[in-house]
Amino acid sequence: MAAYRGIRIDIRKKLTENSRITVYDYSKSLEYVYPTGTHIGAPAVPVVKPGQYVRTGEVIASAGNGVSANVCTCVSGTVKCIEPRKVLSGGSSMSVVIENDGKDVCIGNKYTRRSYVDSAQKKESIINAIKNTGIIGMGGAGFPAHIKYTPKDSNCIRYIIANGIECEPYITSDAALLTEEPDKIIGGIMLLLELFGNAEAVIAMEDHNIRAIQAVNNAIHNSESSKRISVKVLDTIYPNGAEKKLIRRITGINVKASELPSEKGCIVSNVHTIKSVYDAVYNNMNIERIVTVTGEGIYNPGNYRVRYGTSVADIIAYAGGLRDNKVVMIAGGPMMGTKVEDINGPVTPVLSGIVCLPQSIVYDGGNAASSNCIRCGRCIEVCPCRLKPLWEEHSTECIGCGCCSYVCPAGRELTMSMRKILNAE
Amino acid sequence: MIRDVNRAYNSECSYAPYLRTRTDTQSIMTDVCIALIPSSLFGIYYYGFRAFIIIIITVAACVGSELLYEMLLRKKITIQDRSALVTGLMLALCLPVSVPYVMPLLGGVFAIIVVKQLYGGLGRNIMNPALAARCFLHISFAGYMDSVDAVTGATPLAVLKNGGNPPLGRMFLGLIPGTIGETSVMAIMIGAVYLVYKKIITLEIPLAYITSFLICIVIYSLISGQTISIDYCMAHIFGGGLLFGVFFMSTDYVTSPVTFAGRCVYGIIAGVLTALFRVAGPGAEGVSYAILCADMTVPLMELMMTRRKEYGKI
Repeated sequence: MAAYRGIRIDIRKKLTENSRITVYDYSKSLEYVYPTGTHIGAPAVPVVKPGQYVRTGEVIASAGNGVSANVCTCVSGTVKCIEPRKVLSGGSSMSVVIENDGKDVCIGNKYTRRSYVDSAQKKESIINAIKNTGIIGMGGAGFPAHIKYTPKDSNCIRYIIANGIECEPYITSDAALLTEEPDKIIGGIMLLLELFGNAEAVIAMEDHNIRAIQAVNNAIHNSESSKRISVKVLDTIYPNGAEKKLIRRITGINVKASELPSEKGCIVSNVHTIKSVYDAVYNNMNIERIVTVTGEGIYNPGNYRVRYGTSVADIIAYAGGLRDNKVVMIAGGPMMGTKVEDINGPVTPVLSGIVCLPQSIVYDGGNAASSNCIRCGRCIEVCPCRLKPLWEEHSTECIGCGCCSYVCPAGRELTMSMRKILNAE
Repeated sequence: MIRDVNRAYNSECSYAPYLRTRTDTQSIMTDVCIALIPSSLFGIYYYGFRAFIIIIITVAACVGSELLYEMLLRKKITIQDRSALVTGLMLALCLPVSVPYVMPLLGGVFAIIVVKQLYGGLGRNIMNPALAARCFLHISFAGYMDSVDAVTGATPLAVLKNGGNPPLGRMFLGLIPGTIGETSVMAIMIGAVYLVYKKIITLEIPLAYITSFLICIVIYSLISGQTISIDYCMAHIFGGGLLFGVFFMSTDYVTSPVTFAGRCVYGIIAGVLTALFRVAGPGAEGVSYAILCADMTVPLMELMMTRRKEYGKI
């Protein structure tokens, strides 16, 4: 009985783990689409009008009431229209559509390093930079970062965990960022350490990311504040990267379903989010992320640096295209991601990768439809939240990781039933 | 932990996760059949061609009755999941070679139709079908199931009861009278090792079972004044079909509890009852009735486990 449960699966990161970041030329795409409802909370309200000229980094939709975030454009050009557009998962979201003029005129840099009167002013300007550029959690949830970084009492935060685990199979976007730009991630962590004076920072990674671990360790030695930053390497188990499970593994603190990590003194952010904080504070920009286009169904798998708003169809074409028309594309990882219903949907800050799985590796054992539960207990054995999925019970503790459905020999849709119950509540 | 190679899920169904394990019900049942092959081969070698016929009849009766039942009631045909095959093989290995052919036939039909299908099919039965059918045959055809004792000489357990020294070496190899598949400890252990290696079974039930059984036997022997030796304990473990029951029957997924703690309790109940039936009862059927009784406590055990403290929490 292991203390940390989960599944050890074939992570198939070999396709892209050694791929250097390839920059997708932003000028190739003519249209950039910005949905206003990507983040958790109230959708953003468009503040531009069709025909208006906007510059790269300008706010085109500002945060709604309550929990919300700004949306900024990542290219310069004219606002084509504001209308509902399909997103990758097939749903529709009110979006601001920008016609790219290819010139990448930026709004300029108001927040570069300058002397601050006191640390409170510096903290305020950091939070303002994060808020203005509309940074949301880039690990997949999309929670507005400026709200996460302003808990009731910032002195109670003891741990800042930079989540570089990326436990989903196939996806290597965080790994590529950690390998090639660890200094920016360290820079972002330093900014967060300014916000939370009592905290120490831990960069969490999995042990298969050998190059990333080396790069990060070198970057820490080269930076001034190696005292407050440490690296923790965990063995590769899915789902290591789940926020509350990660907190428990690194700090031993148990955060229940009804609690927020900040209430227990922890802040967990994806390394991409932290790097965006660095970009926002020093360059006033939050315009791009690494998207891993991978899978056996695509010709040129790799880690692509893409600006938000780019049509995924353009990226797929840039990556060599799909091998055949039966390839299944999944936005995010194959365990918790969603099937891509409309390939023309835009890249958003929460899109870590597109996994293209060909039909040839679809298991065709004849028993694909789910059959009777044989009470083998494997789902209980692997559940990281110690639930009992075979009885498909209500539980707010379920994180929707998919371990139960993965191991079920009868092919029962356990994750789906747990999630349906959760969504209904 | 399950170390596995992924398969991508059938894309017509749009639910995450899109990777699943390659292990399915059919592959698990196939592995159990493979684990039963050493015992079957030994039985055929030792008892001859008749043993092979009995195995064929039992398996055919099980698979055939499941197919017929599902066809007649217009249910989904499930014989390809090989669970009926496993039941047939297990039941056959529990029978003495001298049984008339009608017994394996009836036993197979009873196991599948009454014990499994009438309770709801795979995964819904409370009692182990092979064991329940064996006990059904034992009750309905009393003389024939014990015939091996009368005809071929005293079984090692009978020798033990009379204070003699049963031949441990021959018991290990299986060169003693008994049922087709339960006598050769070596063959059973090869199968058990295969099951553990393939992660089909875990060791909590076998260990709980054998340990509690031994403790009870030792306590009884101390009370009744019998001399205890390693040989004595080994003879109890090797004989009476205990190891077959421990590794193949009691570890059946459907009839044992789903959690680690539940399985330990189940193993202990079965072990204590086996010891009780063996010392207090006349025959060598202690194992099967003990496991059946333990099976019947499982639904209550699991009801207690799912009691919720508040809505949404376990």
